[in-house]
Amino acid sequence: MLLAVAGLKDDEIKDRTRKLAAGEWDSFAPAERQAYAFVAKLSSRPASITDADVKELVNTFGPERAVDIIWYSAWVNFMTRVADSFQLPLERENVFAAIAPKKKPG
Amino acid sequence: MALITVPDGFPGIVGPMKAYPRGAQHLNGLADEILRGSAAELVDRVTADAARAPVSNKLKALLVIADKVQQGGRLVTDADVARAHREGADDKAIHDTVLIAAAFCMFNRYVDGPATSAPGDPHAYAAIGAKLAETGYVGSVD
Repeated sequence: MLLAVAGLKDDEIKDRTRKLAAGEWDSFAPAERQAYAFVAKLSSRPASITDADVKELVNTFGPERAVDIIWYSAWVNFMTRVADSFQLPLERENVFAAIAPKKKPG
Repeated sequence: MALITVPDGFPGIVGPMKAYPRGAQHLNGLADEILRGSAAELVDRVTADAARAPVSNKLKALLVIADKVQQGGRLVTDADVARAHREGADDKAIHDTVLIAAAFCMFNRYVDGPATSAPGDPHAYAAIGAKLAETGYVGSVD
């Protein structure tokens, strides 16, 4: 649903999630691949993050967007654990679609 | 030394919280809600071997759930929750256990992610704990 909130269409979400799940990152931009790799490491082995990892992230994205990536991935590590631990049913549709701002034509 | 700009003199999670106070407000509000006032003794023995630590069977059952949440929420089973219920935990205790464990999976990544420094001396945490007990989490970075 977060990808839908970000503006991706159904087919784009399916394509992206399939590639992410399969580890097929080649079609993503280099900066995107870098962010995914950092987030995967931070999620699975947070204590193994090195100064070099963070420096590369900051070099690519700048300090504020790097913090956004770190903060948001940390937040999702929280959210998924809560949802998975309680076996909460997840929304299959973008429940925010009705209140999303309308895109300007063109 | 953190690789993002954080103010001097604020080790650990306080550094990025000082630099980004809007996020800190929400993080500490959450911590206050689910953590303040909870017991935190016997930490060394529990972390070394929770099954043999001198804590109640109820707490042991909740620690099993917390450990699984840390590894991944999908590992928590109906049997784990049933055991906790059998040992006297109610739904709120199970709920709080999951939230606390999940919250620290977030907080620890928020600390590890930007490579912040942390006090090496365990005594520093006792002083921090005393301050938190007095002022709470929300005011901890003021």
